[in-house]
Amino acid sequence: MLLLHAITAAEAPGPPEARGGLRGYPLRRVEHGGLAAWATVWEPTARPLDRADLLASHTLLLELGDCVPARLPTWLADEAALEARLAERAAELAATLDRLRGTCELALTLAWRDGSTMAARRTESAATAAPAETTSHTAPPPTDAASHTAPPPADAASYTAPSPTDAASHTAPPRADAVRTARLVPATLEPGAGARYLRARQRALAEADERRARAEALRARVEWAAGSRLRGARHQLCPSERLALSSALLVPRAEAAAVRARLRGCLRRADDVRILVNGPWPPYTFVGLGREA
Amino acid sequence: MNDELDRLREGLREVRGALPSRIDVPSEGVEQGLAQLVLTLVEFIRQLLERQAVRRMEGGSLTDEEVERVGLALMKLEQTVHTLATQFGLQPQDLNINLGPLGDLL
Repeated sequence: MLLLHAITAAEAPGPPEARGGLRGYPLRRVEHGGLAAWATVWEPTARPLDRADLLASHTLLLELGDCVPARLPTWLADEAALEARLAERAAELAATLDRLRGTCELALTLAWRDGSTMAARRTESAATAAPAETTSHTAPPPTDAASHTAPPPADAASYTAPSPTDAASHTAPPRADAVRTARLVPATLEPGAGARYLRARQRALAEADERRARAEALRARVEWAAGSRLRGARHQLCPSERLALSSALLVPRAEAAAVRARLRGCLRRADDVRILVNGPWPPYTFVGLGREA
Repeated sequence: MNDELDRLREGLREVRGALPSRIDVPSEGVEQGLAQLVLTLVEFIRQLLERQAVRRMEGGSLTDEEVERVGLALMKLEQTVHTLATQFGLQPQDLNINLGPLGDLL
């Protein structure tokens, strides 16, 4: 049984011949139509794949360089089956390999800082000046200010949400991004509970919209920072309560360090988020996203 | 409401072809999976209604009595959805669908 790792061009040098696959099992190279597939010869009785295997596969892909990573795990019966799979998808794989050649993926995460408020974000937005131009970009960075001008509904400030345990003892409304999981239904319904519920939703939705607008502004700034080096991007706005933005950026491998530095530089004034940049990695996110990239 | 529907329509158009052509459905999880799917769609519609109600309230087209009535109805609907979810062993955060490259439905 074979555990497929990646596809490279047949002429690519690949890792040293003595290099094994995962867990020291043999590494096989199967060639077809100008493509080479790299796979570990797996023992059917081996223990299930774990985190260490995932990291080992990642290391192997880094050594392979330009490649189309396979979904892990992708199992094939034997070398004949692998060659047949290569033959079946040769044109698609070659096109993907061409598209991804010389590129890598940077993973950018922007996490909301604890205690950050929309007021602080508005202040930051207003104070943020255009980052110094260090590249050929001539357009100013996307401004955030426009997305931060809408104040919360006037009547929302005085709203008190009913508590499930004590309908009379009202507490602060939920965080906007917890709108899906908020438990606002009181055990007993007092007069006006419906109106208070709807106004709680009004405030939560307004805050969620504002956070999303802020995340959208950050996304625009990220793309501006990466500039012409950006070959593709996939963004998730507010993917969780703690995160403002999660982005996968496809950039030339030779310029990954420059893009990282520029991202950090352009986002340094965004004091409502913490910045985490990982990579460069193999372009995992962009293997199946040709049209979007 | 039209904005949300347009966004959903656009999202479905984009996701077409990006989703796997086969879906692994383990037999032991069919009941819970079906409940999760149905309740997620109900929750999605409930949230659309909620946004529409808030907009109408902001626009002043609802009387105080109507605001109270709509609020109570949405509150009870939310409670019912969560009660049903609990009966199927689902948490509120389970009421969602990952749309691959597009992220989550809710």
